[in-house]
Amino acid sequence: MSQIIEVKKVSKSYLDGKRKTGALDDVSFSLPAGESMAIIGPSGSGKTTLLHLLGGLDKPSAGNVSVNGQELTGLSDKELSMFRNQTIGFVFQFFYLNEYLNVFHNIALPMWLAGKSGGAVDQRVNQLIERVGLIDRATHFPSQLSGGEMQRVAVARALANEPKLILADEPTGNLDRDNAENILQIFDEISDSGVSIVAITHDKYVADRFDHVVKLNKGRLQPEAKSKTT
Amino acid sequence: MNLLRINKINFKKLRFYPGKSAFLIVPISTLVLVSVVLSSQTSNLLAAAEQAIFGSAELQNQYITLQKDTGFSAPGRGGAMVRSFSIGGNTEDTNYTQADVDKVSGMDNVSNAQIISQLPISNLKVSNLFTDKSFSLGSLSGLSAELAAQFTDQDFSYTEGDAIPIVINASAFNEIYHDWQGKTEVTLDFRGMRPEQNEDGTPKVPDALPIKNRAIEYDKQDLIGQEFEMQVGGLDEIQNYTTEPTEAGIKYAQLTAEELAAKETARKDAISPYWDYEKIKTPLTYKFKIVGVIEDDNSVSSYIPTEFAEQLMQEYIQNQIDARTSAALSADILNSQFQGMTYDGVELKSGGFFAFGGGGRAVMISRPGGPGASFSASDGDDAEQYSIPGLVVSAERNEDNDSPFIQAEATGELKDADVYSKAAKIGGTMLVKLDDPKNRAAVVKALNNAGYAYQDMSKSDVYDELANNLRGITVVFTIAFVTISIAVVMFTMSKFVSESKKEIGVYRALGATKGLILRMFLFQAVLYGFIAYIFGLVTGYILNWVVSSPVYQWFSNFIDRTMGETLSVINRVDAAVFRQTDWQAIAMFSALLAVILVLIALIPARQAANLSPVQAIKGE
Ligand SMILES: Nc1ncnc2c1ncn2[C@@H]1O[C@H](COP(=O)(O)OP(=O)(O)OP(=O)(O)O)[C@@H](O)[C@H]1O
Ligand SMILES: [Mg+2]
Repeated sequence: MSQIIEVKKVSKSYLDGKRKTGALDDVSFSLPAGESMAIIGPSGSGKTTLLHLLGGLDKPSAGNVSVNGQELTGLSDKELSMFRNQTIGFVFQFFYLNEYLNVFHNIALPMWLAGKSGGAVDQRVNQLIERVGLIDRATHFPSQLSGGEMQRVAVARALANEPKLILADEPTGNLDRDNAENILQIFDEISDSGVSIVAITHDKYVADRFDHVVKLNKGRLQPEAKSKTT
Repeated sequence: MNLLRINKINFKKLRFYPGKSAFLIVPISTLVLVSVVLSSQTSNLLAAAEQAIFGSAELQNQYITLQKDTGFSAPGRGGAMVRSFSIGGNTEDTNYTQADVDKVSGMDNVSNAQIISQLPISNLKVSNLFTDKSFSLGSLSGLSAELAAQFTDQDFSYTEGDAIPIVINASAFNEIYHDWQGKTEVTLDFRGMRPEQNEDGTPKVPDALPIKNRAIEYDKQDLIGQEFEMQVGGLDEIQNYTTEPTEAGIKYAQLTAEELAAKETARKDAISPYWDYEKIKTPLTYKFKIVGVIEDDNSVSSYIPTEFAEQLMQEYIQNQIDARTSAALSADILNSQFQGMTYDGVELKSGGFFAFGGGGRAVMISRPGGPGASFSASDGDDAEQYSIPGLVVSAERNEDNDSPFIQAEATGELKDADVYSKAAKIGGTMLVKLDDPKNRAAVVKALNNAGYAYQDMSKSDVYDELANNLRGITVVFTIAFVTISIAVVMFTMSKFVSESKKEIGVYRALGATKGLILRMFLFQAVLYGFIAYIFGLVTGYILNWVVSSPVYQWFSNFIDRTMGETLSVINRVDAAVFRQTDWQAIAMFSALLAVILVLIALIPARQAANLSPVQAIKGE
């Protein structure tokens, strides 16, 4: 089975003036395509850093990251942008919707960025809106939505270009139980349709819903014992 | 993502953040608005000034006023008074003749020449132009419409039944009044008296003089278009005082009512045998319309159309002929009792039987400082002589005596109302019109070569001053336009970028390239700038119309204040000139704005594009 993610001996350190902060230290792991993984760990352990490396938003100080068989290290800005647009779907803790675009347009944005327009976009957006259960909210603006609704819009946006991998940074961190459950159910459906998911969470209960769980501690990866019941 | 989509998104941002966008749009549209109005009005003012100033100067440049050098030409207001005595000479030194007219009109580039010949009428009284103030015209001359164009921009043609156009000389706006300070007699002592002088060098009127005069205040612009009536001819008012020389000076004495009545009776008794007294006493009344005002210390003449001047003279003389009784008037009676105009077969003159030249009766120029003029020609003659308006007598032409004060003998009454048209016209002033102002220098040279001394003056100072001021304003505004728009674009776009960091990060996470981020901000500046530009352009165009009328008003006042004081006719500019829009300057400002928008917005837009996505997403 092919690996959607292959991380080999990745280290990341930030140079803050003269001080060097190590965020990741010799991290290696892989994830088979179509499977899901939760990253847990204490605050400051490097979870977000790792997620950004996987999404091609940042580059490792050492080591290699390949996603979907693509080596990210050598890619240009244009190629990385294309990669993020086509292969990755991002979901953030604070949703990060564009407040001046309505639900429909927020979801359409990754397709516009891909240069698509017209009927195909409309069709896909409507399909996604239906999938996240927001049919009557299409023309609403983010400020008119609840947190759970906003996160569903964010998930729909992440799915717009049919990505291979969803990267979610504490997607339920800002939601109550019901809304969190709602998002996790959508994730389950996504996962069932063959899309890989990597999500950061602080919640053990949430982590248990994923196929794999890894733990970061001070930039180092520790496999976590996990019992997935099928 | 294509440009259309970028603009659509930026437009959505504009609608979502109107306040923030206003920081860019309001100042830019204000700048554009101001640039439209300012550059348009600046160039309109320049165009108007060029038209008004050079047009007027050009208009004036088409005319030359030749004046016989009297040798008395004192500057300032006193000069006119002095000249009033010198025009009496009947010589070629003081008058132009038909020969001069022929010579000058025969010159290259001269289209017309005319002698200003004063009508030999003694009473020209106006009492209904100024409230409660009456005055008399110093002199009246006929002028062709072609030459009158230098004094008026209005119709100067005479139409029977209509008010007669007149170019009035403001030197006539002077009222005479009596001030006896409660006394019946005033004696002036001239011994050892050095007349005090006014600032302009004219002698001060002694306060004690009972007959005084003062200037009537007037507004030149208000006068234009006003109509008034003039009483022409009629018998003089009987002087209600006497003057008597004393050893030391002059004694003025008021007449009692009885003495005055006796004088009136004596005059009536003297005149009645020969004329219908009431008819000859009553002046002819004509209605005039002011079409121009001359404010020029070097001339006293008011002008009426030539055709009307001839008609007026004809009616003036005819009125006298009609008033004549059948009683015969011998040369003896004419010489001893009456005064009128004389015709020697060549010239028609007035002022009693004194052979003043060129219609040169002793014109009393009623200006402050001209008390000497009140000695009339008949003074010193014991026998009372009455001046009969319109009376013409034939006289011997005295060819060899040049003195102006030699009395001519009347040989008999001349009953010909058309005598004025037949008479030769002479005068101390000749107006010359050129075919084209461009040839002025050549004509001035030719005139000087022919012995007509003439010197030219320039009138472009006013234009230079205005043009310099306007150019200064334009330069200052252009600098302000550039600096303010740079500052505004820089400030607002940097603000947009720094407040959109998270958004930039999200865009990058969703797959936006650096180039797209750059284009998004660049076109945001261009779009908002363009909206501001269109708004400013439209409002500026409208405002330009709105301000055109006050600017026109201001300009008219400016021209009146500057040019109006030296030129009688100003080339009026149409108000429509100020509604013009200076598209050329607007195009320049538009280009400047476009360049500034793109170049300056590039700086924050590049910063936005170069933000690291990770930092941007954290909002750093
Ligand atoms: N731009 C940066 N410059 C310097 N140090 C950084 C930078 N970004 C992150 N770090 C440091 O790297 C380490 C890992 O940060 P990271 O955001 O990955 O932690 P995290 O596990 O996501 O924590 P949390 O659960 O609080 O989100 C931290 O010590 C952090 O201070
Ligand atoms: Mg984190």
